Amino acid sequence: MDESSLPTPFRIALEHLREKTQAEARVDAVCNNFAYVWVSDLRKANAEAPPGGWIRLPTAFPFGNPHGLVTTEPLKREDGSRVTDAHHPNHDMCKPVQSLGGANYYSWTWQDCPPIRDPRDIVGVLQWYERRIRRG
Amino acid sequence: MKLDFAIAEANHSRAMDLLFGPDWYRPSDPERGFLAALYAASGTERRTLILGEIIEPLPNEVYWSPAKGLVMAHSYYSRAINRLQEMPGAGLINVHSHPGPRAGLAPPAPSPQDLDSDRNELGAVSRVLFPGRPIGAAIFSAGGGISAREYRFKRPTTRKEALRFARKGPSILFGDRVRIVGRRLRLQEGDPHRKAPPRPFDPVCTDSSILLWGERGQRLLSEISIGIAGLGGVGGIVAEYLARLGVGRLVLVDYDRLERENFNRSQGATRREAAHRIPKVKVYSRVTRAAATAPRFRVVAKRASAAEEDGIRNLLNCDILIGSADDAFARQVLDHASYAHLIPVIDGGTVLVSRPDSTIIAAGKCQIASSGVGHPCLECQGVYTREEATVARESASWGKYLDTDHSSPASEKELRAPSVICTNALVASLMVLRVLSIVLGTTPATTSGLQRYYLENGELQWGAIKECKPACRKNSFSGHGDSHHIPTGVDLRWEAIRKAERE
Repeated sequence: MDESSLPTPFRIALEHLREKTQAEARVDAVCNNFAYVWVSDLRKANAEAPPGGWIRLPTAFPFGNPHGLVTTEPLKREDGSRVTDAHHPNHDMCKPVQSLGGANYYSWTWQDCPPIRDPRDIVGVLQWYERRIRRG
Repeated sequence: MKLDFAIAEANHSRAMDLLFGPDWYRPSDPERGFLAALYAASGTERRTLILGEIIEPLPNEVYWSPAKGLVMAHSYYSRAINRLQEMPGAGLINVHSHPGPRAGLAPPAPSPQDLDSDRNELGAVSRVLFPGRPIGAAIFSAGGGISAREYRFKRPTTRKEALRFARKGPSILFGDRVRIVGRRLRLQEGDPHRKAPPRPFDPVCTDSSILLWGERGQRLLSEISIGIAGLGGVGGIVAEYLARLGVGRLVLVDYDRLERENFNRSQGATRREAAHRIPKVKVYSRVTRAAATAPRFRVVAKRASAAEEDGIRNLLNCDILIGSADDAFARQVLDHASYAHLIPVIDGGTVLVSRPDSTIIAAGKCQIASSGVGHPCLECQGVYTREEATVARESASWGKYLDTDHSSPASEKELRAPSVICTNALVASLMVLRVLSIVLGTTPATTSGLQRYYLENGELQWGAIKECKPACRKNSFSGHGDSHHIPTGVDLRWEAIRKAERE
């Protein structure tokens, strides 16, 4: 997808993410003001789980909060049990990346998290997603 | 396209201090000057040049020469350009003082020597600054008058052009008006060569208000342009009030249609318009034209969402914005626009909660707040949260109804909230009083802050927040104009209407 149409602060965030942790990060879809950013190295709690997932970031990032994660397989905890917190299999939110395998939506919100102030805070956002996965 | 010059109150104070500070008058050193960042801020019909960070001169970088006049050293220009190249979108403005007139706000005219040195010095600057960055010059008089001009230099593309370049000269455009923006908004004439007479006002129709703020105040109202984002129960009433007060120009932005369901709170609308589902911008164009007391009243109607690019660009032609869209997404967009483009925003809304099987209103509030440079932002005042703005971006129905009825599934619920014209009118009155306070200084104690009226006990209270929270970054992009990305997007409610109308 052509990333040049995305707002400048969003592109700065994406570049920063690529530079710092996720060299292969890319935007696979934009739908209803949200971009589905594929992060291939998203660390999952269960070692057998396939890597990667789409984090949903508002195109207004950093002035809007992240909302939700889409994965190909259901997430599992360390002990192998499924993550059930806000899990919606085959939800409408998966549609933009359904053709790429997106089938599990986790509707996690940024409510009560520290405010995002800068495009470079995207690295912390990714760490937050990883913590949410670990906590299950 | 019209050109304005704008400056934040704090920068204006610093500029006046640098140019006319306590020891400013020295017979052998009659003028002073400095360089500053300059930003462009664009609406669809107006471009504003905004004076940004002042790059203060070091000793001997600015001096008076009897032969050359005011001299700004090359080292000062170099230092300033190095600094500006690091600031996205920033151009350069050269500001200097004229000792006279020492009274009155008449914009000072540049002398032939001023224009000559601009051509040489700013012409050279234009070659080293990144393309597209604005270049200008301004003069401040001791009496408070300001004039500003923008230079457009042709960039040479060949060696031959480069050699002929300086002789050919630039195009110069003077700013029509100067806006000094802080808690108050001050408007001044900006073009020293302006020939057009000031906009007239009707002294008969407005005689009762002239008794309050005089002919000068009434003329100011006739010169001002106010944008209204959202023409629901509140915005429609505000539009009519402003037209009757003598405001010279209104820009109305809304995408909704008048219908029987919203007719009971659409002041000035007719049953016929409701039956024909006329767009609200059209209805209120008619209402405001019929109500206007300013002789050359103009209304611009744009069927759009303030949260989308074309909606907000129309509003950026205005001097003050009214936020009556009752939507966290639009509120966030207006909040950003108020700081980046130096346009104060007055936001207002009302929420009512009914009690089942009773005529008693369980809870209700009418709230107004102002935002922009010199005010705390809407987000810090708690008018909206980042999370609310985020959710409003991805859901067409979010915030449209109060979840009080648990008996039916959400999908079957009517997307409506209780509303009544008298609370809308209360909010509208408070908002227009705030406009008068910001523009005319009518009630200095009510220029800033959040006011909230609680219906259930009849109390009007002030919010506690007087300034933005320490971590808030709105002031970091104050006056940055187009170089700050306003977080617009697709308004899904408007998108759904557009889709339905296309089909």
